[in-house]
Amino acid sequence: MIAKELKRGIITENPILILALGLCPALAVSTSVKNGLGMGLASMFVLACSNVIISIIKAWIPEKVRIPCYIVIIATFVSILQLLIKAYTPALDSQLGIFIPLIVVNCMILGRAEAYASKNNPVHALIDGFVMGLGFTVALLILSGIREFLGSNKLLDLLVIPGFQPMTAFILAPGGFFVIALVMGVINYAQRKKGA
Amino acid sequence: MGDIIKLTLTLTIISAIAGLAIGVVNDKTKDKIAAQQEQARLEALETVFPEGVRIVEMKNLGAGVVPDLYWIAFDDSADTVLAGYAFEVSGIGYAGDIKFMVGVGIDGNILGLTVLDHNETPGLGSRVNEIASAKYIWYPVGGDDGAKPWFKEQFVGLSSLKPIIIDRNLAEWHKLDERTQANLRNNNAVTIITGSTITTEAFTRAIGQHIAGYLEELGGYCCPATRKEIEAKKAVEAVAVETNDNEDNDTALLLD
Repeated sequence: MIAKELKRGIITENPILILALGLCPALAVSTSVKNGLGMGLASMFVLACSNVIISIIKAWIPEKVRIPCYIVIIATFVSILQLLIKAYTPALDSQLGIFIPLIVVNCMILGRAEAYASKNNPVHALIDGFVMGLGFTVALLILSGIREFLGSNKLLDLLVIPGFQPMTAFILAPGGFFVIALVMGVINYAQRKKGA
Repeated sequence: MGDIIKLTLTLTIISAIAGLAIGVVNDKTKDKIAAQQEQARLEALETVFPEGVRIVEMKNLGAGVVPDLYWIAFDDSADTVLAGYAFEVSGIGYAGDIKFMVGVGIDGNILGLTVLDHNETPGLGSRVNEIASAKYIWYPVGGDDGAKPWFKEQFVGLSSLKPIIIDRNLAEWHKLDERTQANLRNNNAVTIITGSTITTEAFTRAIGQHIAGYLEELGGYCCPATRKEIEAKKAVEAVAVETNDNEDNDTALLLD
């Protein structure tokens, strides 16, 4: 069951590459592997926490105000996370500080709350939060790896190929779109081939 | 009607609990965050001053142009001889203000520069902090190869009293040979980060706009001043004392 769930989060329902959720933060932070990893784990934390809480209180939330309620809960966890990062990992704060508030408007988190947590029990919601967060992290690592390598000839701040002239465009937003589009294209092609 | 009350009540309760949760976490972390910020400031001071100086935090009570908070370094060997000042300066970058700390000697030469806060584009302007390591990914061992943040390094030794020139014809500083680097220093010039002219200009402009004025007001750059002279000259009050390595007792003198 765990293997099946992992496969669902990372491959068959990958939030970025298949469901196309949370593209904004993905584009903003996938300029280097370090940023991508930090953002992925931060999002996973918020997603898992908000999924559990929303799943627990789903019965008491009136249909009409459910979205504001979800947003308040998500924003609370983001604020808490931001304080914790500031207090315990100042290095991460200086690198990711301005991107952390972006998690509030990460539609992957609201999307999972609406589509999954509000319909399932807390344990399943927690698992969903973890596997989806993991899928988000894996996708960010793929995108940021490609972008950091092509855009600055580095991986984890270390040089890769001697004499390779990096293409700065890949660090910038247009490059981000290209990379996401190409990775999605490859995945779609592979799936179609498998289906046919 | 009953519906509205129920909706309002639900939102109120959820917001109240959320507020309470953030309040508790804030309460638990605020001391730690303040300590981290203090630590960051100390580290910044250590980078902008040379080793072996005693750093004293000063509060400017006079009106003038000097910022409310600045730092003075005393040469450790003589203890009364002024080694330089450090100021926090803001320049207008590509995405908001770039806050940095700059240490200047009494002759107006820059001792060191470090970036405190910026929102520059990742991969472009954010390279102000780049350490141009020449290490390759397949040599993971070996640790430090001595590379320094080149962008900040190139300011060291330049004069803040003359305009700092931006040399657009040369590539980035760390890729140049030593002779070209020395030439740049002689011309009081720096190189830009490729694709981030505005970021580079933020530093040169802010230094040009502020530092000379500060030094003139503090009156320190014409001649080496003693601590007594500074105290007589300015209505200054030292609020905290940071001793680097020698725990001498005359620190109390500054707290008078």
